Amino acid sequence: MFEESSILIRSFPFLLQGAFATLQIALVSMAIGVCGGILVGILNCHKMRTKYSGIALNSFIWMIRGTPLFVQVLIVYYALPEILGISLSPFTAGTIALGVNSMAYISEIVRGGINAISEGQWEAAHVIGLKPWQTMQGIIMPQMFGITLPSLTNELTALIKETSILMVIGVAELTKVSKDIVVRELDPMTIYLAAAGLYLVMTSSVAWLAKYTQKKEGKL
Amino acid sequence: MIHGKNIALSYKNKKNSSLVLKEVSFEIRKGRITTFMGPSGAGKTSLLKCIGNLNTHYGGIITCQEKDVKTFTALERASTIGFVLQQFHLFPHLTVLRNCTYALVHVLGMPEKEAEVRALEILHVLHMERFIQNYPSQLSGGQQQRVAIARALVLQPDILLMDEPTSALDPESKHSLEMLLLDLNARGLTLVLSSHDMPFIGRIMDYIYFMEQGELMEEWDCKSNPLASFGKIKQFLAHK
Repeated sequence: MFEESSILIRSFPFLLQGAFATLQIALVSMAIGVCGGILVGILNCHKMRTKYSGIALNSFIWMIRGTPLFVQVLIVYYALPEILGISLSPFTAGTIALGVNSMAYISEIVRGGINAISEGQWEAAHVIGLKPWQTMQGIIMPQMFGITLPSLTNELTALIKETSILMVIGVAELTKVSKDIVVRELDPMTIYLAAAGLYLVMTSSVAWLAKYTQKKEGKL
Repeated sequence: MIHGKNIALSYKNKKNSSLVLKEVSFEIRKGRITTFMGPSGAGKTSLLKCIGNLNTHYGGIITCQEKDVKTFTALERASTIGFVLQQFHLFPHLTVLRNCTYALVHVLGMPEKEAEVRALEILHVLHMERFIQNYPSQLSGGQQQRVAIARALVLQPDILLMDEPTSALDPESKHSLEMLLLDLNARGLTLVLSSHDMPFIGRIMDYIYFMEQGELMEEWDCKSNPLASFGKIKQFLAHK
């Protein structure tokens, strides 16, 4: 017991560093996913979609949702630099892959949320003189967030957990750091449980924040 | 004030198309309460939506103050023709006051304080000043309708369209709506209603158009000829 405690105390600063890297990746990916997802979702909703934009956006969503995230990470890190003639750090490549993957899922959540709002809201906004973009911004989006908050929370929680996939391209996030410590200390139980605890803290924070927002909006 | 000439409207899907308005022509005079009545599916709501520019893919022409309503800008339309939809469709995330000030601030560009003063005036006339901080879900059907009327009236339109105004109301709310509409009409507001609620229409009517299966079958100037109801209108009145 004493031995395990001392391993944990010794390793904890490194685990925290890994958790910090995980948090950084998750936040940047979330920013890409949420901003891009909202944009794609709006452009792909029944009110805004044109024939060609629909084909283009649905093809993008189909490709991202139909292939494993693991493969997407490998493509962005190994294949994309070769095609574009650029070099990407593991952190950048991993963040882009996660962000774009999340964008596709969030866009579908947003599209579904917008489509769920009754036609009457659009009509009511139209008759008082609001332009379509004003309606989207002031009337539809606030209602859409209320409807989709639970799904968005799930997506963002999943995103934090999915950062662990980036160990495959050598990003020093929490899982990779844990694995390295285990190799050194030979105590997988203590280290992996500690890592799991840190993941729980991060995912629970997102869930708590979402619940707080929902409560504030009077939805609970 | 509003003239409609040969209004034709059909809804199309991949398999078939259904004609909902067949060459409908009408005139709405200033200061009158004009009612489009008829059974469900007669095309009353579709016609009102054409007048309010919610449907623009119709044939024929609707002019308001000599101008094609399709050419109205969003601002012109909102400040000329107010529309209270059948289900009211208040914005659920905004309070009563913000439901009423939203268009003033975002369409007319009025400062928030000035918009609130104007909205409060109208809400006071409609006896809704006690509920300004409430959300629509905290109001009854009749109260929601008053807010929807206030939301339209703050833009000071010349004409107010109301689609089936009594469909969600209990008898007491219907009575207070009658009083309210007669009061607004007395203040100079032109009202255009669609309804199949005969007792209600009977008490506030000025001019009636009877519609059936997308056609205007009869019209009746009840103010000039109070005893001259005939044909389809008489039949419909008798049924109710």
